[in-house]
Amino acid sequence: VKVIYIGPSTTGVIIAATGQLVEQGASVDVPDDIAAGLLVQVDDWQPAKGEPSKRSTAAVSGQSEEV
Amino acid sequence: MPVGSAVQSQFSFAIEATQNTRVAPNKHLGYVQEGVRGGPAQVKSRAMRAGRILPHRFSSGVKSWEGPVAFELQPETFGSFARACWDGTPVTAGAGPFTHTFAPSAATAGDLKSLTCQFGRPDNTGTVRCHEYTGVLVRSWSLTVEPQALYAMFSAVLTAYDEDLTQTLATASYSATETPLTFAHLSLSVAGSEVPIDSITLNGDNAIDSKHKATATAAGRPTLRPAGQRVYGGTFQTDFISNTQYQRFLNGTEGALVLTLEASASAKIVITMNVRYLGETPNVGGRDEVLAQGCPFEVVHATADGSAFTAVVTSADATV
Repeated sequence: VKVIYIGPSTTGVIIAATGQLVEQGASVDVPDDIAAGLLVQVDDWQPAKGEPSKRSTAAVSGQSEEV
Repeated sequence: MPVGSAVQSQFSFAIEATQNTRVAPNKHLGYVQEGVRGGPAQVKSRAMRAGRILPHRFSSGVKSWEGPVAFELQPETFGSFARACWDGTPVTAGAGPFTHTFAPSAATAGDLKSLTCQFGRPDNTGTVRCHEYTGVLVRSWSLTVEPQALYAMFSAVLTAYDEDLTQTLATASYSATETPLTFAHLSLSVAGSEVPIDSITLNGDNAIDSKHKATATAAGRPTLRPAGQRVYGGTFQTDFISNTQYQRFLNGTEGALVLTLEASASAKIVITMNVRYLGETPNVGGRDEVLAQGCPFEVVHATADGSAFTAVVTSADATV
């Protein structure tokens, strides 16, 4: 499931469960259960709608995907 | 295999729009320890009953939860927590980095934000159990910086309205650029001059009142609210440099005291105070020592609370 980080950190956040770095305004693919946990934090996360990612998520290198 | 120890513990919180109404925690801070505890007072009946010598019934009495949480101070995310400590409605400026200015005032005296707080407490199998507290107010706070501890430590005594074990543990995400502040980032300006210090502690009492009402609606839960004059102060320890500092106490001289913790221009906390000194005489305790000067102080200002205490948190957080 792709989710977008819309929270206040302009340098992005690291999702603890996956180690993925997500920049502000960027989307990231996460497992369903992680997405469910993030999306209840409505001020910080929202579902990505329809748009496929431009590149795959790289958890180790910490790259995030642009929306 | 999950680690069945506290190492995977987590602390998450959210700012409540309405006090005591849960908000899914969305702020996540690494923390060092916590000690929040409480629950209902179980009250045994005093009634006697024929044929019984052991208790036959009890009821749930007043409920209360309270205890500390301590974490290593960092500008990121901390600004949100500070809305429960200093000022619920800070003023944000800048376009990155952002400054968030906290200034207690009469206009916001009742406006310290309440929090929904979660502690993830791992059991011995490694399953992190969610213990959530709603309606959390910060009863008191302290900030300590000393070289031996390395990190600037911020602790707060929390008092809560309710505890809930049925909620789901928040999915944590941490700021990508956390900047822990240490003693090496500290400077202290006393009346405009920088003073090298051994350690400093700031503390504040938010004068939170706790009452239990006789009403079924509250079901024993407390009514929590700011109710008194806040007291902010602290103490710093330095060498006995001259009589200047001690003279300030003897003369009752107020003055500026500015604590700066600056890792970089985009990651810092500056606390500007106007203080009176409570005094501590630099006594000679023995032959082989450099005399120390303890400098306890209390925040005060004749005309404005915001001139007595203002904290500016600078970070990459656009909002707090």
